[in-house]
Amino acid sequence: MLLRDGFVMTAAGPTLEHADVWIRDGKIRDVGVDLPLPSGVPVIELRGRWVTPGLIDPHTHIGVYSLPLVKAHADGNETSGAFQPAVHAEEAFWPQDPVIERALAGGVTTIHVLPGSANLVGGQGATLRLKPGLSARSMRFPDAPATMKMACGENPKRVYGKKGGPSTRMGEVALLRKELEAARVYEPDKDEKGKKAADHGKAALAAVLDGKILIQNHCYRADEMLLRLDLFREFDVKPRAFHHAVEAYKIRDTLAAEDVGAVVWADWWGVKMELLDAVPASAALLDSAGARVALHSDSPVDVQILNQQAAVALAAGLRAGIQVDRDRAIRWVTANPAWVLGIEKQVGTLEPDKEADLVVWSEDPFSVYAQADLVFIAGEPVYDRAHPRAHPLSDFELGIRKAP
Amino acid sequence: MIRILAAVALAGATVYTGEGPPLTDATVLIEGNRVAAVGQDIPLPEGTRVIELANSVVTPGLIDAASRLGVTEVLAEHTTVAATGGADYDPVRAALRVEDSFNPASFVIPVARLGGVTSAVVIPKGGLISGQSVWVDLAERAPVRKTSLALNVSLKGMGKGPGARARAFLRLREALEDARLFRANRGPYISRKLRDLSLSASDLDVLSRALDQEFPVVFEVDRAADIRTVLEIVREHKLHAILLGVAEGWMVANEIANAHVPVLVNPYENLPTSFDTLQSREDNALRLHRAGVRVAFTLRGEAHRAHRLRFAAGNAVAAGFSYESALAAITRIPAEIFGMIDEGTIKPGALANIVVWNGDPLELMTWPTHVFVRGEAMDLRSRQDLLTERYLTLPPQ
Repeated sequence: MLLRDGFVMTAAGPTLEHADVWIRDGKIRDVGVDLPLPSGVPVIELRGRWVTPGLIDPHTHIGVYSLPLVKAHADGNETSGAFQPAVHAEEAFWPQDPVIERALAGGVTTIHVLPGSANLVGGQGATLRLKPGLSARSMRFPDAPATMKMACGENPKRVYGKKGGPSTRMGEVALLRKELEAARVYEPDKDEKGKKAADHGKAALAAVLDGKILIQNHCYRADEMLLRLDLFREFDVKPRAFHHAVEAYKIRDTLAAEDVGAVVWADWWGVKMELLDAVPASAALLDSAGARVALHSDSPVDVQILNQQAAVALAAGLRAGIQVDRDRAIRWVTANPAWVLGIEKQVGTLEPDKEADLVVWSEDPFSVYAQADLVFIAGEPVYDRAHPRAHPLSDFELGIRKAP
Repeated sequence: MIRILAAVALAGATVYTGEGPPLTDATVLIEGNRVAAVGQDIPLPEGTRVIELANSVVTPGLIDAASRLGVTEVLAEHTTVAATGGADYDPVRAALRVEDSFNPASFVIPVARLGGVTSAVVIPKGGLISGQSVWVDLAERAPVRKTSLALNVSLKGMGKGPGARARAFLRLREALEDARLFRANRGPYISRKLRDLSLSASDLDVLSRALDQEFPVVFEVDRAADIRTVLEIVREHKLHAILLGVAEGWMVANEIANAHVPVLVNPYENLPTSFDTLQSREDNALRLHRAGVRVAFTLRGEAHRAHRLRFAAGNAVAAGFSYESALAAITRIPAEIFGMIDEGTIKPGALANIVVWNGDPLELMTWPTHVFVRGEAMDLRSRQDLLTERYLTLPPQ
């Protein structure tokens, strides 16, 4: 398949004008201007439309806090204890969450589903492709590394303050240190009779300390992120990224030097004390310092307009006089979240041999008027705005959602 | 005439007056706190400060028709959230007045202003009959322009326990019936010759004024069936009504139009977030508009997102709204709905709430270069800007 004659934002360099994208066997074969037309290949005329990599949301609760948000759908926080390294978002994920098809219609092709932030260690995340299926397993992003959600700050102490703790930030650090120590000395095969039950939680944390599972740490404040870096250093490990890292801009040089990612919002702010110092120029500040910055939605509304978040964050950077441009900003919702999830070799840019996860936009995706016209995952069309589905994808909405 | 502010001319811009297509290469003359003239080649009084604005767009200041600005600082810290009776208080609190706790020094307001928002209808929160809203201009001095603007009723505010919906309608009908009785029998009420009523005297007084159509009643309601019930209650009691939310409004658009009831809609709401909003659609506002309903946009109480009002309108355009109608839905229409006829437009005599943009105001990559509230140029630096400035250079660690 050849997408012909459009603006192509490769997320790996400057936007190409009048460019083509050649897709073969689910992968990108070539990107460039005036690509030779291979015979017998179907052509989609872009007619000046825009192409980007499929958008990647590195932080959602799709399927674990499914809509409608009734009591029965609250599956994101296992609050039977503040340490839950053995639980897995995949095992709570409801593949009928109506948000899935809306996110797809917004050009999102990969999501990272995380447990909530009630726990110091919340459990393992799930990196999924938005190719709807009957189970999370069938939606798994192939060969994506395992991830572990951790949290600091207001949420764990709010949830556990009156049920055994931690009730303070210092308690959070001390308790996590203790748990990591236990994981460090954990030896599952010590029992000579082989009868000792494996502790899957400790085993998972041990794998975290071995660097086999990426730490995705919910953390807002600069001081707390620095504390976390110190704590993890005691165990010779680094987080892959801080999420909701609203004060990451204050320590952007450290994050760049340590190669720790910062996952931030464009303009969400102020609803909690630890969210007070969020600034919309934060992504631009981080990017200009060489830090790996990604935008996330953490919201069923904003996951549908992730491209708009990139534009808003870029505009705030330009207004503050920071040297950034849209070819950098598109990476905040593509290449950089791919790195955060450890899938940067497969997706996130439009380059030869990458997976053909991409979006054709009706116009400049940094415009509020842009709509995803076509969405492809591994070269397969998964959404076409010109041909709306006769029925909702979600079983839940079938026979419930009325046609106008 | 005492002139506090010198005349200012915004010259050479594309001007959206709030009505119809834009004027190109036009000038807006502000004298004092009002618009003196708008158009091409208008005479300027001597001493007018002229601001040349080629490539700029001028619009009326934006209006959030249902906001919690000035009564919300940090949502998760309840000591910083005002103008609410709280969950444990009697759900009927018609006498609660938002102006009593509105705080013009709120640090959330400058962020909204930076989104071009110059006015807001600030609503009470929680309960069933939540209290009385105010109209504020986001000025630093005397922001409250009109008190007892409307009485707010929320069918979402009765808590989430079993029977909430039934309780809400039961209590609402009871309150209105009692107010009606009170209104017709004030003398007997005072001399204690009337049967016991379910409300306090001050609540009864406010509700009876609503029954007199002294101010509108804003009903927050989402489900189509509930909208029908509300319209029935409105008809029974001859209320001047406005609907807020109306996620499923498109399903009963003709009934809303026939009742001549305007609606306040958040264009971002397109999700089946609850069983009240299973039929949410991104073209809800468009379908209501096409049925002849007057539609204003709102962020529906999300104070920290009020700056997104223009993007909400932009998304409505993407969903099919015409550009002029979408802009009107955040300027002229909300002003008209609440009877504030000198706001939301740029015309001689209108209050000079005006925003100058460096491009299309509904777009993501533009921002205001000047914001005037009642003719006064606002300092556009928010706390977020000060933080950004402080950290442009990193302190040594």
